[in-house]
Amino acid sequence: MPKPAARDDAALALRPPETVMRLARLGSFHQTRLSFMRSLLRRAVRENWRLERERFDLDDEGIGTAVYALHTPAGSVRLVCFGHALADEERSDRVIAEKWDSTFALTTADPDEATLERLFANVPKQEAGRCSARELVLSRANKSMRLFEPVVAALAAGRQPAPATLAAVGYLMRTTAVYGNGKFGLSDLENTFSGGLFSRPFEAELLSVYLIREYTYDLVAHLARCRSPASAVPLSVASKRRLGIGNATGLGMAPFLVGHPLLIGRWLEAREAAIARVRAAGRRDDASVARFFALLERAVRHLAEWQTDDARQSARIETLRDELPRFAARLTDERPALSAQARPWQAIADLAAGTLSLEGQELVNSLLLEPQGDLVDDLEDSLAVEETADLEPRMRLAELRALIEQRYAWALAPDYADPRERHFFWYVSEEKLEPRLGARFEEPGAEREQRLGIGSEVKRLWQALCEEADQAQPLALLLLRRPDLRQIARRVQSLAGQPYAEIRDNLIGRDMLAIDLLRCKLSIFGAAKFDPKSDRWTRITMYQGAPAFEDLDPESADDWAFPVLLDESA
Amino acid sequence: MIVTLAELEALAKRALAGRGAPPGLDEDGGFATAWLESRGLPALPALVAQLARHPIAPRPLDGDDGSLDAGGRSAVLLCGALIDLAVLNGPGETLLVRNLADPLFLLPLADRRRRAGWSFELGWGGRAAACVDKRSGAGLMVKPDDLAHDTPVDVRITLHEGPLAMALPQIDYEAYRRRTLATGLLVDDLLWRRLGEHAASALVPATAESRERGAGASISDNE
Repeated sequence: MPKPAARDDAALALRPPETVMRLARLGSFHQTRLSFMRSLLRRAVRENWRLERERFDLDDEGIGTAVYALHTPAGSVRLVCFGHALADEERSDRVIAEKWDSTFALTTADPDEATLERLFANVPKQEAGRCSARELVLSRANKSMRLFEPVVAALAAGRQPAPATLAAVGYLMRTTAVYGNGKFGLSDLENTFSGGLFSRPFEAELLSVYLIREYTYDLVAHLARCRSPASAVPLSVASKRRLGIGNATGLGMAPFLVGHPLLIGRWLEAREAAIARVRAAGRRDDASVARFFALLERAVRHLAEWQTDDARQSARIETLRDELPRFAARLTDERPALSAQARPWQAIADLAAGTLSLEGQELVNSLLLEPQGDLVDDLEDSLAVEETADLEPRMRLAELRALIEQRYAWALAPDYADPRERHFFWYVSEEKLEPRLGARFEEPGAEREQRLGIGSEVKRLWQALCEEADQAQPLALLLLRRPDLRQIARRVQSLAGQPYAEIRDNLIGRDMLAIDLLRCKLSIFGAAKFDPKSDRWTRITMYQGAPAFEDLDPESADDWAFPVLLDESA
Repeated sequence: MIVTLAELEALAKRALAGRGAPPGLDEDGGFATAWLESRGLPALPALVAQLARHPIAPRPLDGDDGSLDAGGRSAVLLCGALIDLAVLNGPGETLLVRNLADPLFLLPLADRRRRAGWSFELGWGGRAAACVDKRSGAGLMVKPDDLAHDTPVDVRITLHEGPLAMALPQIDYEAYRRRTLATGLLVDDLLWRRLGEHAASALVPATAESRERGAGASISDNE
């Protein structure tokens, strides 16, 4: 099990949860150097991982089997890839799709014929198939119809695709699900961790995505070769960097965030601890200051390449494009004075907090961490947590009531009798168990809602406590009469010492935007280029700007935040 | 069929919720089912039998300070509440629960309390099972011939502070669990299907409208 959260952070001034844990701010997060994808690539270099393409039996349509073996000091793992024929009308990003261009499994099994046959009989079926405990991850991906064919055509003609063409889309394929953690017969998380290869949340899943990215490079090079053996060229290192893996993410992320409060609390606390450590740091060497200013300049250029059709996100990007250059210019003007301050990083963060939008503030926070790996990188070892919550049955009702009034003022404030405050209900559809969001007063199914409206649940508990005449009675006795309060009582108690575990907004209120929940989790993973397609799903790009495996070294592995893809020198 | 512990816990929880178990009790029942089955202790048959009953939601328990009458109900749903009451009683006190079916379901919830430094002595049918603080090195002890109790029995639950020494044969349940994690869990197909049928009651039927309002609807994917 990973190390617990770092030691002397208790003395640091972390931003208060009432500032951090609001949907609008969580929905403004960007990748940081602690994001899981970033940690993964640092680890790959640190441990000198080796990648081997063991098999590549694909025909001239890309149909067939490929196997990639990743060798680490802790053992080997393989990504098995199946290429399929897919008609355009069958291509769908939704969970309810049943066919894909490619399907994948990350496995610890030896890739002998029997294993490949077993996987081929199941992996292409995805949710309808069965994996074994040797498989860690199950995934699938569809081609980007805007980019895949133009890239193959360019390579077949012997030239690299135009950087602008690559940057406009950013990926050759996009995954539509990346499953792990015991689903569909896959290895249980504890078993995955016990193998020694993985010890951090979603590490196996994000490794799979990185390896899928390598497969897409080889796939377009193969198809180009098949089309024109004499002239075809593979993707250059620079082209590869411009290509990440796309992803379409829907509402499933939201129940995860609410359902794993201890884990989320740990992730957010680590993030805030990192920011606080940097803010508290004194003057650093000139190199880290120069690095920060260089990254700030890069981020300004990155914003120019961030495109979306979503009106809300477009407006936010426009604001960033307006405010960040001015912020950078002001910092440059004040650089000598800032450098002379006892805590220059705090001065920068304070200036951002006082002058920038939420997106701008969080972008600056991400940038502040970048040059400070020696200060913050140990926090990546504290991101796993044992998710067991116990009830304290002896707690007096008055004590629980006081705890709620102290910690959950945000939950007690709304009047949940107002239909606007309980406008939505979260549910699981019988259609491939797709998580969905319904309008309570317009759609059927509210009687089967998932209890993600934590605020209203807490207020229901608080009201029940207030109605009890004997406030000295222990909670266990109340729960004998009111078993319906057990879950929320346990949650309130077990999160009492976890300041960043609860999202402090009404998740069933009419003003709630599910897209903010998605962005929070995706940014922690390391995603970028958020491209919302509605208020409840988004496309993103993963690993864009990151080095391809052949290009991994200590410098490149950690230098891909806010990449500029149209920089010809990249 | 071979399933994972995550699948078993999630489906058991959803099945309990689908049949009307209050939130929290569904979590306890799902957790207990996976905990027991992972150690080779039979839980799925009791759970499925419990799910077939109506109503499933527990009524208030009758009793006084020292004893309760479960009225033939199953520990599948009462396990968390009964362990809570034992904690409430305090160290050295024994809680007597009369007419409780499936007492094995108490073990997982008792075991989870080890983190607080407590041990539990559980006894029924004239025999004893124990849940012992890991620090003692003794681990969990259950006599395998003492497991099937779908007919109600009187159960004694005694809380102890710290490790507990009992003269029971030890079986390495943790090793069994590690094997289960590595290979998956073989479950009876019929029981699994029944569990799935109950779990379906927690799902919302799909309609054209819900499909249209779902994430990712109405967007061209051929781009």
